[in-house]
Amino acid sequence: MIMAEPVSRNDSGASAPADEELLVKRARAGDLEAYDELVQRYQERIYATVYHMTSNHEDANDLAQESFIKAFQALKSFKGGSSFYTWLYRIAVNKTINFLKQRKNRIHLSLNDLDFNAEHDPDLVAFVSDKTPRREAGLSELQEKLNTALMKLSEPHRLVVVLHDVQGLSHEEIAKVMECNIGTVRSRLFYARQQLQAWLSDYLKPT
Amino acid sequence: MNENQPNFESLRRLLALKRHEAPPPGYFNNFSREVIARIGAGETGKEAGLFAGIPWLLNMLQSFETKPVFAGGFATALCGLLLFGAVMAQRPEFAAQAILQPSAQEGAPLIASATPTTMMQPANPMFIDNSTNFAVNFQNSSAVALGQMPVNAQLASFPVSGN
Repeated sequence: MIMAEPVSRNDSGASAPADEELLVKRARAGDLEAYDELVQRYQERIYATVYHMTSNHEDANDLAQESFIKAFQALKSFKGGSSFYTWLYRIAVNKTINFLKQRKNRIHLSLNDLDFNAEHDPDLVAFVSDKTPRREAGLSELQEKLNTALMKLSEPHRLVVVLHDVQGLSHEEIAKVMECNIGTVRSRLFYARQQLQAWLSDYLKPT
Repeated sequence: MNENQPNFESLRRLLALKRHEAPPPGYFNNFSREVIARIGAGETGKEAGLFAGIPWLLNMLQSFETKPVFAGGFATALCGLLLFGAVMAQRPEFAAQAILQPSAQEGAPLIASATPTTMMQPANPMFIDNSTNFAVNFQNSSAVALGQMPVNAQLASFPVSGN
């Protein structure tokens, strides 16, 4: 299973906005069945975002659930200015950043296993081939090094990398989620990539 | 500054590894059910229960969650207000005005307008309680202020006139 692969979305960022509005309206009126459908629609993406930010499965589980609960509780304040999807992302991201600030310097990696497809991904196979200086590195080691490097980034920089390079969100969507302008998103992304490249240079294939 | 520089291509391919990190199989089968169960169990936030009768306050707290800039603005305004209060309290003319203002009202009954400070002034040495015909001489104002019986308090009795 490939988790949270970038999906094609329309301009508003929602995957199916037609009935989403109705679902949100029903959920706001207390219809838990409607909210259940909304949770199912976004659970993987929200979980993935939180997981990639924390590099900890248990924390991601708790934070993703709490984000959905918080969103349900705050549905009355959702005015529809942005899409439900962006709004939900914002709640999850803020919750995660608050959590990370509280547990600063207490980083404990609890990584999910790589799925079966990883071993057959030609790009990834190339990283563990003889073209990299650390050619003895296996995928698991690479995974750990990558996550450790990501955790060294500040939260805003990590978030931009996760949302753009892992989740596949556009600059505009990230700007909406983070409530900043697109220029800030671009500069953060550039800086974060530079940092990661420096830390992971031994594992990167020369270009 | 161009973020699509070719030398980031290798890094982007490496970051794709993150997409293969997956939770245990079947993990999402019960996820939404757990969320709904927690909501159903009344875990829609303890704060929602606390502030259920004050919707504007609940909305404000929720907007703090989704828009931290509001929380920052609110905190700054609160700090500014506290600072203003502290500075104003330090200013002698402001403090004096606050003390003198109540007794400056003319025509008000003496007892009603008296503050604890004015009651202890030597200008009001005698307090007569008409209901009991007792008079107490307030010469030891510090003792009065401490709620103690004045040392030289004397009971005085007067003949009730008019039989």
